[in-house]
Amino acid sequence: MIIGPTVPLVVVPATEREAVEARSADLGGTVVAGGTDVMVSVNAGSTRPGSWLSVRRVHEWSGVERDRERWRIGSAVTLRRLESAPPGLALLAAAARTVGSPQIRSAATIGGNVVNASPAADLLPALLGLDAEVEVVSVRGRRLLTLSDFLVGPRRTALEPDELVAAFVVADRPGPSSFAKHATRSAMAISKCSLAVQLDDCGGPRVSIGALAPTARRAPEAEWIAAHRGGADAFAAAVVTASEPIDDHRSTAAHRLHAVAVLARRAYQDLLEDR
Amino acid sequence: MIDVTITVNGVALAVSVELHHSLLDLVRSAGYRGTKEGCAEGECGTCTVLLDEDLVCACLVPAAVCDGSQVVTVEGLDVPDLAAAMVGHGAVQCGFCTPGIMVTASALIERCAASGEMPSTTRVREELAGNLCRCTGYVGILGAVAETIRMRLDGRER
Repeated sequence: MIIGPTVPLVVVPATEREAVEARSADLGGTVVAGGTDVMVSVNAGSTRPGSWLSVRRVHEWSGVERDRERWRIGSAVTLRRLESAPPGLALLAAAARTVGSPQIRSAATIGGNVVNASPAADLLPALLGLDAEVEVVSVRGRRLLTLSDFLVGPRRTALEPDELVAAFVVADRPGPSSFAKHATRSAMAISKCSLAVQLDDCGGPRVSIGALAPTARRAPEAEWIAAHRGGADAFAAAVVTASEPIDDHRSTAAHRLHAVAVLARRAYQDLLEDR
Repeated sequence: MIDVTITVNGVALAVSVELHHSLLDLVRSAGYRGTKEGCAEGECGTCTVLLDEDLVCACLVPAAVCDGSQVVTVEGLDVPDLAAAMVGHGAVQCGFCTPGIMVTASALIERCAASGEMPSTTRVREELAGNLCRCTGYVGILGAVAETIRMRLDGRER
């Protein structure tokens, strides 16, 4: 019988190096940041952690920094902090404000929201609107993926077992934007559908949707219509075309399509008419 | 079992926890039973505590990662003015949500007292959105919180 080196049951690294080394030494461990997703599953008895790797205190992952034209947002930054992000990140701040409650937002992190890769995760459409890239790190090195490449499917990402998400590199977009979601009530509810629209002078508008497809995604035809001022109805129709919703416990496909068309018309009127 | 050293309401405790235990399990087994379990999924806010000065649902924090942290539960609050206002406004009926409401409200009251700003009714509602009450209809709770903030800002006592 071979007895391997003992792996600690709980690791709370203070540095990125310690975090990636701990991950590579214990690939089966449960990674936790804010805990607001994984602990729901633990409390329900569906996840039994064999060990914890808490990435909450990794200091390289806790900042929001400007790097020339882009922002680097550490994966351990909480939603509560994103709520008051600088004007160039207004779309992300608006999305963060709609998540959960103050209690959830002061624990939940941007890294957790993205890595869980829920189709309904509210930060994802906003991050797509800021052309986000995901900075991933392991003992083998560092790589940068576009968010679209990172999101593989519902709750599935391109993260390798030994990799951790260090940060998100996103565009600075101080132009007009809107994030809207439709849910059972205005607080503490998970999206039935969501829509993020970001206008920008360079690169054209960005339109992205959440909870309407296996992953959050852009709606290219709607972006074209927004760029050419094609009208609210055509814009809403294009958003609907980009959607492939399902029936589930939260809503029906038909209701989601109806609701996102309403959100789309409102966003178009607010952002693009009379401008 | 994992050994955790944690400060609850100013008292340093050395406790042993399992990997699946939450901070809620920890504070309740340490005798701080004011913190309740409602939903165990972060929806109801009855387990609200301050963890290193952040307002969190204790049910969603693994106890094992809390080594070295500072926790304040409802028992550690010093808010007689809020308590009196809650009673005066009829903001307590069955009382199950009250400890969580008290923790959330006291964090808001402290922030408003520090900034000197009276929050709008909408803002008070948003700050309390994570604490469900199934008895009162919230009117009394919102009134008690707003009155406490107003009195603190005016430097009056109830």
